[in-house]
Amino acid sequence: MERKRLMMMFVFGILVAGFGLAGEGLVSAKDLQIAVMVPNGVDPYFTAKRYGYEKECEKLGAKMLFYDAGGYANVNKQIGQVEDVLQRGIDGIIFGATSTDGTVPVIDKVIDKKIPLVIDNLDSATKKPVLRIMKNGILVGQLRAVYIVDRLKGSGKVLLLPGPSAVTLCQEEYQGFITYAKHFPGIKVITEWTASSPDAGMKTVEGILQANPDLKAIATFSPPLTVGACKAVQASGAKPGDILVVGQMLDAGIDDYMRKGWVSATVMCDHIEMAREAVRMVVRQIKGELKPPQLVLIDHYLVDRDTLDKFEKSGSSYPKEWRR
Amino acid sequence: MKRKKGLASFNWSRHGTPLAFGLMIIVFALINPAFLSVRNLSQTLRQGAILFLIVSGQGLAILTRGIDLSQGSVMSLVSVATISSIYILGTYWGSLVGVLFGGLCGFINGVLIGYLRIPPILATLGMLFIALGAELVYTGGVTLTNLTDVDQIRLFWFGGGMLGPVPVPVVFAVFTGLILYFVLRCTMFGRHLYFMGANPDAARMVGVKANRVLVIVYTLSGLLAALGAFFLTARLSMGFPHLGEAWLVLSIGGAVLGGISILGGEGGIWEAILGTLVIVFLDNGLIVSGVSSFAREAIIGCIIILACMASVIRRRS
Repeated sequence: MERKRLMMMFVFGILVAGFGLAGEGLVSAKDLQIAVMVPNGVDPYFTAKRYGYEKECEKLGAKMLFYDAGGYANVNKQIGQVEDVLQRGIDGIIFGATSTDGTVPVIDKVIDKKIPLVIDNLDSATKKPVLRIMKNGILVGQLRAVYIVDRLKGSGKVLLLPGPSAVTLCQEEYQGFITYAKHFPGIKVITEWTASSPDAGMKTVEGILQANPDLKAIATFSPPLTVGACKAVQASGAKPGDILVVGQMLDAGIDDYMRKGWVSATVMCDHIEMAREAVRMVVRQIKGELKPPQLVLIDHYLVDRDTLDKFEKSGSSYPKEWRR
Repeated sequence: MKRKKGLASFNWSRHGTPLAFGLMIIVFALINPAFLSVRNLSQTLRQGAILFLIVSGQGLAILTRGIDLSQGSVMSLVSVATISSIYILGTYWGSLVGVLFGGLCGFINGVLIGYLRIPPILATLGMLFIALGAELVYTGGVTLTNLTDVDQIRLFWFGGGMLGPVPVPVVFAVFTGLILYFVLRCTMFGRHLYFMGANPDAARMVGVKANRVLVIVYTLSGLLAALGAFFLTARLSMGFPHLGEAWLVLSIGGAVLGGISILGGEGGIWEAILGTLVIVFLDNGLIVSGVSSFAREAIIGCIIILACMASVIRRRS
């Protein structure tokens, strides 16, 4: 009798442990709430990524809460958004920082509260262990520099528009460009830090072209700056291709500018797939399958007019009928 | 009374800004002669025309002791509304509808301020968020492009085209400036506007229809911001959801820099023109001279603060 009781307790214990472990694996993303926090939602780059976040959350059955800080200058607003999200309770956060240093205290708070967190592309300088999925800013800058130096045959004046100076990614892309270009004394680089808006880009390029009519190339951080640069080049009377414009991504109609010859090349990454991966990472962290620190660097590649219609677009473009 | 001699007799408060502007032009031209090239002047005036429209709208509000904080957001709303309307109605009707959105926002501001007596800073702050929210909800933050080739060419003419040797926005700005000058200097409405800025209580007591004046002022402010946004949108050929972000500060700075008193009742279109020219040529001159972008922001900010101080000192004296 005693042995029978012990046997039953043992079997019961095995069953409980078994269901418990299986239960862990069976936890799905259903009913999970994931906050996606971006610094500048109107930038076509983030608009496209929103598609990725949304679709992957839908696929996993999670609910996405989207927060846009409304601009890189709105650090306080973004901090407030994180505080609000912590207050309301959230299962996971995907975060792109308005300011690398300004967001550290609030990100540390998230990590201390053990909320699963993935920093997506725009880094916060927290020293605490965290999951990150990042563009390789140095590589992006170098790819632009390689293309321009090659096309200019190692000699010529180049305008670099790296974007907002407070953003680490912009600083990395700047460093990547400069460290490559410095090996070619014939390449003269003029750097102008501006807001990532088309009118800022246009006004700056117009002025620089006046002072430097021998400008041969322009490298830009974002699609809005690329558009502004193209408009300024058009207004200067130059023909397509007279001044190389090398940007980043194909959003905001950049592909059209490329077909017409105003944009010579653009550095791409599969940013929509990157957004999807960020969602997968945070869900895995919620489930306990992924633990910080981890760093995932995504690939980059250069597209020009000749390869515009030949590269795989599924990771970097969304259907035209989708508009949020 | 002892007559002032020499520099002390110079009317700094009245002539200081034009003198500083002239000196600035000379200095920039000496640093880089390209500053005075025809192309540079043309491009700078094109930018200036857009800013002038916005500054003159802001100036009208400031003249009545008010302020219009919604101009930047209204510009963003008009940018996306214009492109969206062009998709449906074509270039010309779509452009008109887009601009009218700005007028509507201004009209609402005017009613809130004139009839409901909500302080201008609060009413226009509310409209700032309403306009911003409306255009973000509508677009989802997506930049609007994909105009047809025909629409793009027609639209671009407004922002980037020329009428003879003169950029199209400059022609519109001059025309608008002349109308506003006439209205402010030669009409009863203009006199009432100044009266309200100088002494709003006295104005109401002598029968000035302050409510009506304020509705018209803020509607004009919205319309003028909308026109500025339209020309900028036309130049870029895109509806950009944060187009107006940086322009609010410039509109206030331009108005005060030119000599429109922040305390109301003093200034006019010449002051709006002067303030606009100082800002656009200062910015352009600093770029052409090779001054770093960091230093430029600081210099422009300092000058705007100095102009505000001068305005207050002038008013007190």
